[in-house]
Amino acid sequence: MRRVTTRATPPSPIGESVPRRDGIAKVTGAARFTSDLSVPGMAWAKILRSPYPHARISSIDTAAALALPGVIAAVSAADLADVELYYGHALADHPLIAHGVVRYGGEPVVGIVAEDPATAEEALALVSVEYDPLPVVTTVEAALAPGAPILHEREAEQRPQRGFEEAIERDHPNVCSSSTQRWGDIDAAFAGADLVVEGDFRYPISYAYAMEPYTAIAHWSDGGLTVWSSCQHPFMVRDDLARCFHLPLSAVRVIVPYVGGGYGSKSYTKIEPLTAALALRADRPVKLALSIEESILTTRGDGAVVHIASAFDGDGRLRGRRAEILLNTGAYAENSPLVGRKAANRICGPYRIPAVDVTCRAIYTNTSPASSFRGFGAPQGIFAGESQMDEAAERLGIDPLEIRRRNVVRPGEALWSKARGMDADLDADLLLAADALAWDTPARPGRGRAICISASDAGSEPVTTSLLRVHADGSVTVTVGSTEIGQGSSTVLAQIAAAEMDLPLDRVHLLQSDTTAASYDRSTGASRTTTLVGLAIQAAARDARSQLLEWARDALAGGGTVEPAKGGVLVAGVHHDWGAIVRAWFAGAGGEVVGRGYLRRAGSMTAMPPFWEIGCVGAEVSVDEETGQIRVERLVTVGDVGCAINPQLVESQDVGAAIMGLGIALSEELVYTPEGSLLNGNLVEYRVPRASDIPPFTAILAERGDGVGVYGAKGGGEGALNPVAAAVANAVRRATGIRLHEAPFTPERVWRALRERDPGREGDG
Amino acid sequence: MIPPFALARPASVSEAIATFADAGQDAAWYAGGTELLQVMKMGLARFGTLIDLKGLPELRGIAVDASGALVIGGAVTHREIERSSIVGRELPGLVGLEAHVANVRVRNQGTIGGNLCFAEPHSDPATFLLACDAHVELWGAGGARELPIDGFFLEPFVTARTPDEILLAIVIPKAAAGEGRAYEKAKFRERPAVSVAVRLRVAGDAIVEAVVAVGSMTDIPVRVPEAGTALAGAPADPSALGAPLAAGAEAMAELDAVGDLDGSADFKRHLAGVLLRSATRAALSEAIARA
Repeated sequence: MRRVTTRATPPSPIGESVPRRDGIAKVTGAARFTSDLSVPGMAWAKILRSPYPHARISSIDTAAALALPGVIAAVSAADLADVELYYGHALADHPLIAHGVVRYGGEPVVGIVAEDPATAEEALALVSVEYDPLPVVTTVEAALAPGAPILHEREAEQRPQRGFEEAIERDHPNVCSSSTQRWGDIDAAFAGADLVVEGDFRYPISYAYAMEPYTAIAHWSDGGLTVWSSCQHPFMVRDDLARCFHLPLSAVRVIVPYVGGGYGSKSYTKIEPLTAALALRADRPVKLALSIEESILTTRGDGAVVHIASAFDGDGRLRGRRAEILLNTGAYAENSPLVGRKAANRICGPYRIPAVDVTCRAIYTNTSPASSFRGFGAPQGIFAGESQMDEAAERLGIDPLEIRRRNVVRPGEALWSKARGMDADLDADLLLAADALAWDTPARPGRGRAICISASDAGSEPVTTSLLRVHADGSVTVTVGSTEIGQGSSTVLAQIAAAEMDLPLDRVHLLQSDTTAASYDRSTGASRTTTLVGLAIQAAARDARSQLLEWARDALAGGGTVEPAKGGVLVAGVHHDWGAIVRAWFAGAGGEVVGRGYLRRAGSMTAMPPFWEIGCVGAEVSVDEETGQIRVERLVTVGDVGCAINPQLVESQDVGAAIMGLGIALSEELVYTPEGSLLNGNLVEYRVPRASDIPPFTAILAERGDGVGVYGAKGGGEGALNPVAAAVANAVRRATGIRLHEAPFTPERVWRALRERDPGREGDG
Repeated sequence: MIPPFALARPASVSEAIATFADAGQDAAWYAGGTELLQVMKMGLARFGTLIDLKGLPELRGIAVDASGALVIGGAVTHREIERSSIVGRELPGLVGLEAHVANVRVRNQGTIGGNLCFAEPHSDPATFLLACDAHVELWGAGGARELPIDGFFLEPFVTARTPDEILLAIVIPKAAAGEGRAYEKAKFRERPAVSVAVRLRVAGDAIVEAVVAVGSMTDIPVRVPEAGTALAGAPADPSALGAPLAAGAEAMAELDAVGDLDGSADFKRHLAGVLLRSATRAALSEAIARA
């Protein structure tokens, strides 16, 4: 890791790579994940899934399953008349269990609750379901073709938590949502261009593999519902549960224990309504723990077909960009309307473009539902856009680094009207990546290099709260609603609280992700936690300190003057720590002060997005022209994070994101047949990178203090994924002369492109 | 999840065979479980009793017999073969092969006998042993018998072994003077995309005999006699193999290749030609060293 720092020096322990707080528990196996938990009286659920990708359910017979000793309940949609079946924070189109129709292979049809998991599994085979198969569409082209089968006949309710302001536009029954991004005179921009590059790019349906599959426990008691779940956004899940079961928000408690990775796959609601419905009918606490194979069927990333054209002046300056993005969104909306919104924004890149005309439509198909995936609409478009930057550079005879330097927006410059000005120095980031790749020296024969860059409107909505309680011994408990999903938030947020309260780190503890006991946070996604929750903690700390000053004046200084001092106050030259102030004010040994922190769309959070997340990646590759295998010889990331609260954690995030991007660039793709069968819904055949696949790596952190967050911080953790596919494709172009248009760049796709380059070429003997 | 089953742990082969006879059709041999337990988890197979062969002394061990042949027990793991100095001396190509089977967890658990009996069309050892002219020793209710490995694989996941038979050992003939045996594969996931094994013998300045086998390309690993014929008679000089290798590659391209997630039939035929070149060169280099 290399750090390039121009920011002011923050207080300790900010900027220090303190060990992660959950590290020892996780590596020793002491950490308890949802699947490790049990509730007295708990029963186990298993799910019968549809073998058909699209069918009407003509009958369900559970009598034989119910007759099996140990089976407690067999539940289908018909048993849930008192439950609002359809959920979805954007479009409420997703029944928690199939309702008359199945729309993808693997959709839950019947839930069995039994005394133990083996009995529940055995009972699945005793359920008889009859289906009338319906025509199937698995590609966006097929779903929009004349006469295509319609997936959703019923108009779904639009929900307020979709993450953007405008209503969802739908211009075809199989269009889940449509988003546009337009400015400038696009026709004039193209008409006056010296060069127009145009092409089609395809980005795969992918799976955001997390080691922990989806798991939930639901327990109805005292007129309310408690759910333990491996979810990223407990408050969003709470909202959906309250709506499905007609409960006030205060009657639903969602608790998130340790989580084994998310990457977006655990954002928003997944199996929690189904688990709660099964617990309701079984009248028992119920655990539903999916396998990885079932998790793959639960959500995945949006595939994309991108048609894009970019217009340039002769000196390489962008004049305009047109794009049409079609997302393969699968059977239900999940979070794809927002992914589509973001894809339309992010395909513009971090560039100054006078005219833009982008449409992104999310398309329903009979495949598993797509939702958030780290990078979130960015990599789909960045692959296309950044490929075109290199193509234009080549055709105009300009260095690929130079064409980017000519086009990136400058610090403070807005990418589009009303957007927050760029809070990053993109030109400097490009130069850091170039330096790490030794850009000025020629690559070795057979190798190619590339540098790609992206900017994502990140941070989601600035809605978060924090309570910071200073106890009678001066130690601090901070409550936040954001989830530790492995990214290190439990460490970073404690560092922020310790710094703000002038306390050693071991005097600060965190309570996270419990909708009843912890305070509200909209979501754990969009790389927002360090920035937004950090600001809420800072506000809570300031509120606590201001109360403590007042209390010190009142209880220690007899209304006289007190001087703020490190970790407390000075009264007549004597230091009193926070605990002494609390004890004095309560006139006893106990008590505490409660500081409140609120973050909303006001003040520094008025302009959207809350911050820009930068992805800047360099790659050097070679290609085995006989087998078509790409070898990444070096990968470089520049993490433009303003201030790395914990540099080692930032580095881990950048390396992890880039390797995840490399997985999609090289191997990851869920393959569906036209008939709707998923051919590789398991980790043997869906190839996720291994430790041994990690190439030589240079991680650079650029810390210029230019973020809106505490100490100039801003979000990271996703950006490094976004440009990887483009960087690999552009480097392959420079190594071999082939231009790749479809990710992943499998050996066969590379081989076919090489054959097109050299018609008639055969073995060299 | 795996449906409940009984686990029997016999102390000898005869006890194992008796246990199998008692359990009837409901039993399966369990020799490592890296494939068996997966298919049971997936619900593709269900057995009431698994008979654990891993501890049977008759299936353990790696040795050289009186004829000089290499004998590998059916329950020897991939990892044990990979680390065996005997195999390293007698059949170095197998050590290299085993070092790259799947991943280290599979190698540590999976056995060579289990691998061959499961007859997954992408098996690494199956292809190599086919070129090496190995045979397998079986022992079942009807007694012991030996089968050449060419003919052991009948179709994907089906072998000539009867359900009651245990694969006791694999026997690989000693390399003749001037003989080299090599295995090369293209691997993009856990299993090979295509693999090619070559056994050839050099006498004087020429290759006098060659056997070529290809795996992961057709329904079962197969020998490609035309490719062997193309190499036989060629000069024992790696720089002078252009025409014979091109003819061999053409023979590979005639095979009835099956496309899968690793690539189309066309691509596999191309890879087979590429791998034939590298495997032939590796076998030739070993052959010259042994000449």
